[in-house]
Amino acid sequence: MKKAYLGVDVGSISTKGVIIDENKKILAGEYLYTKGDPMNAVRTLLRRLEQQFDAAERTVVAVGTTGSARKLIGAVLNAAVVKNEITAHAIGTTNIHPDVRTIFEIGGQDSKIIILRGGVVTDYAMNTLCAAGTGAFISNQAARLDIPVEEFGAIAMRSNDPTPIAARCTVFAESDLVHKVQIGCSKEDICAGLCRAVVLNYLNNVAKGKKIEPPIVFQGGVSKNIGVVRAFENETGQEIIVDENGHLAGAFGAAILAMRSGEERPFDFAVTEMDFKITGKSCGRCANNCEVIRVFRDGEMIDSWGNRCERGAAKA
Amino acid sequence: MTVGIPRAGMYYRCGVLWENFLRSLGEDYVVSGETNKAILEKGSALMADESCLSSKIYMGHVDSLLDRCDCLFVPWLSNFGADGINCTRFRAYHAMISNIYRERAPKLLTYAIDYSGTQDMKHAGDEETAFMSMAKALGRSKKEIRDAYRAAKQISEEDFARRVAQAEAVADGEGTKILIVGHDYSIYDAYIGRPIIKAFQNFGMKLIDANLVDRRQAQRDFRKLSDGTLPWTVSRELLGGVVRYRDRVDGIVLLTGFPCGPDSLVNEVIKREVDDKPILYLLQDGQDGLAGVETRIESFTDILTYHGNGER
Repeated sequence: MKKAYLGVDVGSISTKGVIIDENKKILAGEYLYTKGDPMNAVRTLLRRLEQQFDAAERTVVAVGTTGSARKLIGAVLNAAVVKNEITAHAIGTTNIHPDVRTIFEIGGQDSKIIILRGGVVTDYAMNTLCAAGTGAFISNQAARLDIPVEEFGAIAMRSNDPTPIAARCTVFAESDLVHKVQIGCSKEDICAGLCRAVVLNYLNNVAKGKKIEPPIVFQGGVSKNIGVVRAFENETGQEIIVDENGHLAGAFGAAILAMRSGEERPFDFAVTEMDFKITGKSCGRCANNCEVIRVFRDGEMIDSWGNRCERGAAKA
Repeated sequence: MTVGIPRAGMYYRCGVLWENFLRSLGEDYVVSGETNKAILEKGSALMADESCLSSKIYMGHVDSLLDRCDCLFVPWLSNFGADGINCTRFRAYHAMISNIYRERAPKLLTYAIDYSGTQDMKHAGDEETAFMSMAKALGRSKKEIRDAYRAAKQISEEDFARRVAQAEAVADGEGTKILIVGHDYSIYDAYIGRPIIKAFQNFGMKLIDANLVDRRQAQRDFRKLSDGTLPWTVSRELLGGVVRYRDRVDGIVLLTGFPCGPDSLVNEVIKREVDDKPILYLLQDGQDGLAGVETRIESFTDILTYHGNGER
């Protein structure tokens, strides 16, 4: 039986999965919305991946997880590797574009820039306290303008004169937007203005002080917005590469890391059909009152975390 | 009389001096416990909203001491003459404590460091003179205070020199090394900095505190990264620490409690002037979850180790 490796990337907005062979060839790939329920999203993800996968020929021997729910899903899937999304994205992307020097990534609530030289990450930055200029911002503004978020970019592309909009803060941007609508700016110009605002916000905050050199790869859900891609091209004066598999880069990287770990653990596509329960409880044993998270499978605790000290260590 | 010392703010810079001074005089004193969530929440409720995380923590420590001491030790550390000034917060704590506890009016034991002499504090001057001003409050002769101060000063300077030597040894030693740049009251606070330090150490990183430099040398060195107008003493020393250690570390971590005026300038200077090392900026705002911080620490560690191995 030949071997295969599964990578799962569970983010705030979307859940991604990739199965690769030992030559890093993608055998199956899937993308769906998390909808606030990572367990259910992964259950659906695995069912769909299983359909694309020839279980008679290969077995999944190791799982890697990444994304904000990586620890939880890592516990559930008995993952060999649980890795942060920056490393996973960098590894996934360099395996698709070996010469990449800059990665822009704008997701649902995070935005990041990763700088690579010679295929090695040399620097990165992430948004700090607030989520201005991320996917959540565009979704909110699209809803306000009554435009499906999927059409937002295409509408922006029809504009010749993007409306200037302050995008430093979502709350200010909203009042600015209301004002621009009232003074009669067209939807096209406002959409294009918002795309430009997202890009300026990103370049002036997350990417500030970083040397942006081509080739530039743009990833994350917002990279599907053609209006933002064009605004990035205008502002940087560089070609922006958006890969059709770009949204799978994190999961792809996680799968590669699982393969590299050399650690093999039994995996079953039906694992998520088992009875999993997740609890978050305040510890209460000291003044820190940490929120301790416990994961139970069929009533048995398989993992726990969140405690700052030993007093909060959950008993298995 | 029991003196209460808040384990916050300038305690991390002057604590050895303060404790040895009081011990040498045979005074009873108590230092508040390590910062925890209850202290932070209490301090946040007491302090003005827009205060920084560290001053909220400070006030939480003050509150935790009220029932355990007869007077609070709250020095007024304003400026160090040509060596720069302190953050305004450290000139405000008396007024804030007096205002927050108007009814209770806790007794304060204090001395003033103000080389400019322009403030209306009566005993402005150098540190020894400033300590002498506590003679009356402590019911001691000037000689007793002077002897206790001099003994304590020697111990504290030896202690600091020993810590600097340790930092130098780490910088000259093996391993993946990270320079951590932040106020000592952030770095060593049990709620802000220590979980971060522990996380880096769990990844096998060696940490060097940028505060641990020869302070005279740092007062000269900071000008290599910034012009001479940078006002804050501690910020100058941190830049001096960057100059001293930058070539011997693999990466730099900027640790800031939100919001910090001096850090907002100094972090920017470092980000612009140090272009040959990966820099991680960690902004702490009393978040409960450590998940976001863990992501940043893990990925930064990956960068430093993969970089070293040349691995993809």
